[in-house]
Amino acid sequence: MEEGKNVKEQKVGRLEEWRRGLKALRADTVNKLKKALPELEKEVKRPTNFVDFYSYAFRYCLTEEKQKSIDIESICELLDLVLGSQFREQVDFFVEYLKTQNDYKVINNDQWMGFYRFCNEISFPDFSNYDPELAWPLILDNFVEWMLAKQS
Amino acid sequence: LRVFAFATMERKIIELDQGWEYMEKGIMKLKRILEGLPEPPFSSEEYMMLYTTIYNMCTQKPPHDYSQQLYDKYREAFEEYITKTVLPSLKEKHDEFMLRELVRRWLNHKVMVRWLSRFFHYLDRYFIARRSLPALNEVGLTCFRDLVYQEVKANARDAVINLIDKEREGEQIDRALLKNVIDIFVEIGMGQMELYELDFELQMLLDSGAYYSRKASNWIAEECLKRERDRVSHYLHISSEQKLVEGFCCNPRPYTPTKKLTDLRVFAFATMERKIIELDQGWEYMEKGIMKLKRILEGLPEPPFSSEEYMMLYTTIYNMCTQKPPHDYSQQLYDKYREAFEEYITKTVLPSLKEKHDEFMLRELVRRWLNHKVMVRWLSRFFHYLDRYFIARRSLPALNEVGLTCFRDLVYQEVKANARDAVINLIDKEREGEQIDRALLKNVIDIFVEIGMGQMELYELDFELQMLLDSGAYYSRKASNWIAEECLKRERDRVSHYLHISSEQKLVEKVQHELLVVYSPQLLEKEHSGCRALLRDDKVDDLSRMYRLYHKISKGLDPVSNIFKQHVTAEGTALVQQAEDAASSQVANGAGVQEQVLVRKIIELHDKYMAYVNDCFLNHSLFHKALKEAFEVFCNKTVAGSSSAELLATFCDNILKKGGSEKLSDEAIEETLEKVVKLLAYISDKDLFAEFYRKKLARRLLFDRSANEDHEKSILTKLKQQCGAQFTSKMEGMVTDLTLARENQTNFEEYLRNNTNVNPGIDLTVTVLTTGFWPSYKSFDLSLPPEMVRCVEVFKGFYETRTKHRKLTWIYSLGTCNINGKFDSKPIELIVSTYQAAALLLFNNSDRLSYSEIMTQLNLTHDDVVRLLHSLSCAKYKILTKEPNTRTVSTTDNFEFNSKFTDRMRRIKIPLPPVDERRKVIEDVDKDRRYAIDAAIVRIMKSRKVLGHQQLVMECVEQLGRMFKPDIKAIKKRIEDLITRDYLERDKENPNMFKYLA
Repeated sequence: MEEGKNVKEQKVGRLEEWRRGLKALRADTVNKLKKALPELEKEVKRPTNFVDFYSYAFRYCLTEEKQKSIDIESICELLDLVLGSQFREQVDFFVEYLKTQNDYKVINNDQWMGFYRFCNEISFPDFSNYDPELAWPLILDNFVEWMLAKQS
Repeated sequence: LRVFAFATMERKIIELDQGWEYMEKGIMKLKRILEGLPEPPFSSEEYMMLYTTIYNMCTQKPPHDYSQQLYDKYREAFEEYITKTVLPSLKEKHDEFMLRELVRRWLNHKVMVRWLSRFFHYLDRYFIARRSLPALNEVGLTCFRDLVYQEVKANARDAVINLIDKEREGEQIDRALLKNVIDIFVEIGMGQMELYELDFELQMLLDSGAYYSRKASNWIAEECLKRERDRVSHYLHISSEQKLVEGFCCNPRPYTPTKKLTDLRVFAFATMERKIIELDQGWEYMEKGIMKLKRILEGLPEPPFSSEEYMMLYTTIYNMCTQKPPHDYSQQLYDKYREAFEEYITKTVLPSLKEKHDEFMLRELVRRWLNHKVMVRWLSRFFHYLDRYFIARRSLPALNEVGLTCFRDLVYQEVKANARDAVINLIDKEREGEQIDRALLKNVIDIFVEIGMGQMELYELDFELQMLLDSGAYYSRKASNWIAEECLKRERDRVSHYLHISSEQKLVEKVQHELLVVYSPQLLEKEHSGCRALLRDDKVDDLSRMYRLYHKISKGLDPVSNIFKQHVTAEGTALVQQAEDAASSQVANGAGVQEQVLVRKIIELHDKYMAYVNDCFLNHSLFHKALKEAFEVFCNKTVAGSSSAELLATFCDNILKKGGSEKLSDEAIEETLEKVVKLLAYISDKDLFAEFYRKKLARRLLFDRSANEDHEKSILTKLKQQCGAQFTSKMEGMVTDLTLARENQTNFEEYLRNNTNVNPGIDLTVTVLTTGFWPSYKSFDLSLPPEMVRCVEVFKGFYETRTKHRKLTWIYSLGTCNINGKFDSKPIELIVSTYQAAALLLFNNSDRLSYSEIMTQLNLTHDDVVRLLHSLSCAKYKILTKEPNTRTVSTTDNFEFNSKFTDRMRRIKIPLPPVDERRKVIEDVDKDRRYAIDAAIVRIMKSRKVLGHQQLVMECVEQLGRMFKPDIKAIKKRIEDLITRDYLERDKENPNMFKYLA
């Protein structure tokens, strides 16, 4: 697992990590790397691993010292990139919402992780099992409200 | 004696309860002594105090003369002791043991009478003597006689006779015990021998006769006589000696005038002459007696039974029962005893009952029952010997019981249904207001009770059940008429007059149930008489009645309080709506007036319904809660865009400021303030009120508009009491600041007098305030004219001489200036704000300035510039002329000093309308709330470390509720923010849990 994590980090790549990663994959030639990649992709898409990957994607975008949040525009791109294939509809509507609302200019890690949990747990687009009494981040409450208003 | 003297000297009115409480302690002590419990004897001091208490209570002036009550309570004290202690202890003992207990109890009782009558002695001396009432001693003994003696006399007598018989047979017995018991029979007569003779001696003599009639064959008369004399001298009463000796004397004596002696002689003779009596023969004799009894009962002419006749009848039975088998006819006589009743009932009683109906039947039944009891009493006396031996040995039902059972089985069972229906009919008639024969009902009910022979079962089953059902039915018809309380009272009355006491509770419950529970929705909701109508028409008496009725029923008040709440809510909401309508239709004329009227009206509403809660609903917590919840509903509505918090603050301002809309006396102001503060309890946004209040307080204080400092301080005290010290600390700081500022100003003026070189040549007043106490204002925005800059510098110089490390922040927007306008016709003093002054002073150097020039030179915002130029050129006083001359200011306008301006006054005030503060106040409060929520969350999480989301939200709402009702979304948002700031994190396993990050 530890090795797999390293591998995932390498996919996005910083030079040092890239090298360490290739070593861990024992891919010292391009051919060996080509062989390793499909395996790697399967590995990442396994749900237990995907959470880590999703979380990492957020942390990866934090570039400044003490930066804890990411601006809405980047978040929209990132969502499309990492969740777009799995939760097309959710991502599209959420991105649309983020671009129309005015309450939030940035998204923090908790909200980011919350959206992934939301996609996995909440029936879409009827939100029949969504309970705003629970500890969902407020931005998701607002999103659901916005969606329901739109639907009616 | 010293104590006594002292007590009388210091005398105050002693209330009955209070005095009796003291007496009861004494009585309790006496009882404990009597029961042999560890208790020190009465000291003379105690005795004195008890006596004195009675003395005092009897010598107080009416209505505090409690003689009669004390006399009654004296008797009750005995009755209670006897019922609770004496009788139970007697009932659990039998034969000789019972006798011993009886003797002990009698001695105790006499001691008790002696002591109590001493305590109460003053009653004897005056109250009793004057009214010729029975003396205390007599009352005490009578209690024992009526309650104990009457109860146990038959048992005691039989036990004594048994012991005597035993002794006659040669056994050793406790003669002292017998002596004591006999003494009771004598003493209880209080000087008369009647009770002794009737209750004891008669039977004893009969028994003695019977004994010796058996013994007569062994004729040992002399010895026996000696022994009987001996017996008398040892324990029987001396008066019995002669009778007893004669009782078994074989020689018929000449007639003596003593009736008893004659009887006994006859009896003795009969026993001597004794032959076997055959059943038929004996019964024939008995039947004659029974026939005579029946004739007496039927009211036919018949002389009463003579003692001789009675004696003969008794003896006949006695003899027939004591013959040797097969001539012992006990069983047969026992059967015939019952048959005698059965025959009488079947032949006479039932036919007479059947031919009568309704009330007449009831009368007949009562008569028959009384007759029957008489018959049982007599017959059971004739047959008494059966009771003593035959019945006792075989554990058969006693004669008395057999007699009553006959009536029960043959008469009662037959007529009970008719009787019950007749009674219920009469009760219903009475309910309808007819006059009925209550005594008759009472007697019939007594039959239902007595027939149970100590058990209430028959009464309950045969009468009460149906009566209650009927009452229920009756009242379910009546419920529509609101007469519940009167009905309950009447039903209680009914019970006290003729129903059995055990029915009271049930009957009342039944009626309550029918009238109040089953029909409660109708009663409460009825259009013209329901709870709503009563509230609407202010029927306070009826509401009190409703409360009294419903508070006895479990959960009965819930619907009443609910309607009360709805009613108050509706009334309050209507007031709010009225104000809203009035405000929207009169926007132009004096906005704010309607709101002031509204607060007044809400206060009146509160006064009114608080009085209801206190008076009609006796301060019941349910109604306090209802009132609170109702007021919370409409006290938190907005009126014409103003929140209730703002309305209240404005209302206070109007009262507290100079020339406010309310012209009130000091007392009225105090009272009103008190009430406003009470209303504040219902407002959820207390922080918003505080902020508005502070804004207005600041204006009152800074512009010298406060009418009375005492009132300012008084309301702060009230607010502090209700909302806590934190709530008012800033406001109090503001008031204090102003006092300090005045002092400071005096010092500054002195400083200027002493340092003439720095005097700026302009009168300057500076109010130095403490940052934090006051609302926030813009500072350092205006570019001051150089004259004023010099003033500021001078003050700074002064201030630095007095303080160290203090920084002054200047708030020009709150300043006022008096400037001289040198107009063509005459100079006029203009009172303007610092902003307006700065603008006007610009025209000292230029005749004409454009809008943008003014704005640049003053360094103010567009809004401020428009506002102040409008006040100088477009309002009442046109100090500046505007080009073009329109009603509004625009950025392209030019301005000139209007030297033609004039006014009839020498001094005019040019007002600068204040900016609408509402939005800023709300923003400030929102910001403060964010901090408050953050602080609450962190406080909670710091102590709990890990907490579920919902619980966190709940605790947060609870913590903050005293100041405001936080929006759940706002809390969520703060949690989100705290996560970003690493105060909290979401639990990795459970996304609904938060952890505190230290």
